[in-house]
Amino acid sequence: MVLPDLLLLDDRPPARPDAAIAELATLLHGHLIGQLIVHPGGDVDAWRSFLLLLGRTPESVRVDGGISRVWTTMAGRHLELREIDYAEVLRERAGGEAAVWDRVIANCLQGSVFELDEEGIKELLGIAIDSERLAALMSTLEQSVDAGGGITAKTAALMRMLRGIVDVVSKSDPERLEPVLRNMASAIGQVSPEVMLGLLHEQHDDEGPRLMQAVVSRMTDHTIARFVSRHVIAESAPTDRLALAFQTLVREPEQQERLLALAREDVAASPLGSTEGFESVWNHVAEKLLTSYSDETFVSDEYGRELSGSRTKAVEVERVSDDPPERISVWLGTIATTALRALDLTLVLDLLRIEPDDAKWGELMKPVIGLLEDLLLVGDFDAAIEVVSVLVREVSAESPSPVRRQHAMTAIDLLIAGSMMRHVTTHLATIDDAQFERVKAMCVSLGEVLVRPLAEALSVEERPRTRERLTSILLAFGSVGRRTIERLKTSQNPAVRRTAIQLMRQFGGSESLPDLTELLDDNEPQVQREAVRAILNIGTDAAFRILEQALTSGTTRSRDAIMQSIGTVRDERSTPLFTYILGHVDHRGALAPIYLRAIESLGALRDPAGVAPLRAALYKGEWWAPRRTAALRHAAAAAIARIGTPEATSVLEEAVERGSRGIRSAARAELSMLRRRPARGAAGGGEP
Amino acid sequence: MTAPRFQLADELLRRLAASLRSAQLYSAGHPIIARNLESLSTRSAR
Repeated sequence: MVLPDLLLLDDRPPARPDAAIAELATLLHGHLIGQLIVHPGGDVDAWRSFLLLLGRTPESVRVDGGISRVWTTMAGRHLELREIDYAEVLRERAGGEAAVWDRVIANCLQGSVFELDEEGIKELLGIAIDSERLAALMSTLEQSVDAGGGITAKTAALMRMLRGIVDVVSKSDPERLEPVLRNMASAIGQVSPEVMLGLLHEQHDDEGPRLMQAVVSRMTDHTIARFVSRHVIAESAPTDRLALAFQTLVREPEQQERLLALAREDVAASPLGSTEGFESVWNHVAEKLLTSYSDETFVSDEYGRELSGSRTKAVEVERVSDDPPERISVWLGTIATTALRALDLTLVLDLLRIEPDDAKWGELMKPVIGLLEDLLLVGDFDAAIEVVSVLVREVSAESPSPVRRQHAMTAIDLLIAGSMMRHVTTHLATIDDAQFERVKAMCVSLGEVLVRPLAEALSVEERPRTRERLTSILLAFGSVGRRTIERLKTSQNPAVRRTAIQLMRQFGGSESLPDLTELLDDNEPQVQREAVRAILNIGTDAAFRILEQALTSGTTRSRDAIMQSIGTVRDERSTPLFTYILGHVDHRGALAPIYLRAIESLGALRDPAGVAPLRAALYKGEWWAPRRTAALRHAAAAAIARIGTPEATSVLEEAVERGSRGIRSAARAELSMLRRRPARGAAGGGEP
Repeated sequence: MTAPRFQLADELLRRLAASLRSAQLYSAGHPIIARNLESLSTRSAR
């Protein structure tokens, strides 16, 4: 759903407000698109066609029948465009208003020609010769576009209305043209200063300026004075826009002063006139209205001279006109959009470098942030890195100016608080490794302030490659990144919780143990498994105690899951854990199966370090529990045999020679099998 | 709209905004426009 400055996704606004989306909304609305439905299957060319269509002016698209119709003729299938039917909207709003009123407004809004029957023409003439009704019609039209495409759309709609009325009157009742023009002059005094400026500078064709000249020349002093006073009283427009409109309407200084005196009378008669401080307010407004815009303060004499000269030179070049096409092509290339973008960047970088005044340097921060947001939005990281490096340099301790340092710090904070991370995240999966490394370096250069937004982005990220790269950036922050673990480990997304574990493993140390302990109870088996692995990686007694506690106090389900996780770690990292279990876990009662699995796992690992704890298990047992004791001893003897090193063989031989009857029985069977197998070296290997 | 579908739509919207901006800022045929369009097309295919 398209609103004037917002797009709704099934009635919900986007996850975060974004200037780029607001601009997109404005553009779509300007084309009268009320709803946009995206179907799968839009390839690059199809999307390019749509963007090219959006790039045309709304007026030119409307002349061709409106964006929906044009898009259909372009065979665009992946997008369904629904145009706003203003005529329908107005009918719903106005109820009993005359049909011609609605039709005129709808025609003006949609850019189509007036198509009125005789009755309609008669009705329109009636409105046109009645100054109040004409003003009301214009006002309704201006307000109707209020929900639409901004000043340009308003101006275009009003201009269409004026032209349409003049056409109708000229053809149907030319004698009334003069009073109609006077009514128009009176009616346009009701519009806002912005629309007035738009009408006065209307350049769509040759007719616009001529028509406006005809209307403006008929504006009475009273109309212009009322135009000023109404906006001053209502405070409905910025004074500089009002001043510009006023100065465009009235060129002569003497006349300006005279009309302002009239306007002052109007304002003084209003409630504003009786407020305290009215004189001072009016003097301030009047001063602004009488002061012409000047670029003197922004342009030096020398630059001004060059600027004036360049105009003459351009005319001269045009007159001589002896340049070959290839040279002209190269010249044109220098003003191509990409070249202008490069110049824009160079200009900003130069300004940041040469501006000596700290306060003025600080004023540059707003456009710098705007530029950076644009560059990051489109993924022009190389350009963004250049600009960011200037800010980072000023923030560094080497910066000679504390004022600039503060400006740069604030700019970085604003940038990060804005859309930066969202824009960066959008492109992370598609940039190549070399560029990613540069982006990572840029992120790190911005400092710790980026860590939190990074963690936020990571905690909701679903795409594996993007998540991997965000994690890589976070790790590049070093130990500062550890702070983010708290947030990530509570994410709803299991993949993000696994990322938290991954970070804990990267940072190492037993500080992570409490967090890992929590994740041992995770509902997701994969998260549990990662947590077990991370704990095994720490490999200290404290770490094993945690696993032991989890095994002791956890539910059967969680115990099984942990043991399964431990079982999947088939390398020597888990030997110390199984050794720990054999040394600390009771082989009787509820944990007996865990004890047994630890024996089997040590055998499966075939790690020579497992021989000693297995020997201890072989000799363990109770005479009053012969079946359990026999099962454990057989398991221990089998595990020792699987390890199969000379040391393991010695343990079994010793058991056969000196062990009790049960121990001898368990060891003998395994030893005879072991002897039938080829011998295994002390370093391991041999058994398939 | 379900959460994954909303996230997909949100992402698509941002890609469209980025593609449009890139087309405004760079000349036709620039690799940045191509990359943004490619990305938009990939997202919209889902």
